[in-house]
Amino acid sequence: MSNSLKALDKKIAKRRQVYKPLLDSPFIRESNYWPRIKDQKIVTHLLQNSILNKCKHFESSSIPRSEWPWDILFDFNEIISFLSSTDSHDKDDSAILFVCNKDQDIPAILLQQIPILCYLSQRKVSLIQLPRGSLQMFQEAITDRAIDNGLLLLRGNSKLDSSFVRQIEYSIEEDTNPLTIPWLESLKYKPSDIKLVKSSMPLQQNKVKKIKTPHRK
Amino acid sequence: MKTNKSKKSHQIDENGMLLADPPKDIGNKEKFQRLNYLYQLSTWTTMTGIQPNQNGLARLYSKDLDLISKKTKTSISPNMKRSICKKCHRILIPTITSKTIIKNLSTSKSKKVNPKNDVLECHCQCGVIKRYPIGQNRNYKLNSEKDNTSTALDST
Repeated sequence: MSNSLKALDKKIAKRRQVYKPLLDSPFIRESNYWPRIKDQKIVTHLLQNSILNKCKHFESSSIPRSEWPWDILFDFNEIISFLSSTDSHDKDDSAILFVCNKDQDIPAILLQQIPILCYLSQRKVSLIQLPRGSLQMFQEAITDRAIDNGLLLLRGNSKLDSSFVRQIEYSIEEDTNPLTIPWLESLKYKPSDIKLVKSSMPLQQNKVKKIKTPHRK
Repeated sequence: MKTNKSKKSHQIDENGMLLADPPKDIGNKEKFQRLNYLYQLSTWTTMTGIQPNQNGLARLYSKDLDLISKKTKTSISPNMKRSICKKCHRILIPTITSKTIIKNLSTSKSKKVNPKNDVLECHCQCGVIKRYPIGQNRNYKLNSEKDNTSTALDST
């Protein structure tokens, strides 16, 4: 225990802790809307062996992306436009969206919108959340462009081998619960979620200075 | 009674702050519940609106929400505020009332774009754009999400 003046000064309280109530959104509870996968290891293993390793091989042998045996999207804007497009001839396309939502370095505001987008999309989208460390797996496989947002969309169109799609979808659908966002369709009143945010305020409020008025005769 | 008061020991942390326990009850419960109800009502009317592009009733509810929170000095979480347009008071739901896009306006001569300049843009139907510079700090968390204690109130 030091007896310095600074240490002694810290023992005297100058501010006090206060709790400020804050109304939180009843809907933004990300963990509730992401579909749960019972065995993530199998899905990750399948993704790496069937897609990412082959992507790495195609890139190393400098094969253009248009000649790849599947349509794959990494860019956030491309994925958003694919999910929100309303083209009638493309409606039958299904898609599998892999998201590294457990990894760091992915903005939370970006991830908040993904389940809602998948739910509102006119296509059949299976949303898969990947375990921590999957972003690095993506970055190792795709080196020609920066993958910062941790998204990978695989289009299930005619270009892709149907047996291959079936194999992936079968293994995913077995373990994945369907995506449900109850507040978008039939709304039930939810109790208000009030947070108490820690803050501080000075112990002694500044006294209001009295304005000296000149004496009037 | 005086002796009881003197027995209470006050804890002071390293920064000279007098620590206190979180309160068991909160004042203005009804006002918070009213705001919560208005927000949910506004979202519901946006989703089940008869006129999909106008959302008049939904906008009215969320405008009321904004006014009441200002008049009663009750604070709303930034996440909730971000989901309401500041101009037209629409509830921003992707693909229905808003569109989201990432822009990078790097002006370097090299072909590689700097990911630090990534900006998430949320376009409302009315034309207002909300911009979030996500590239600056990808692990950014709101103050209310960092360190807090939360209590859920039972609604009646």
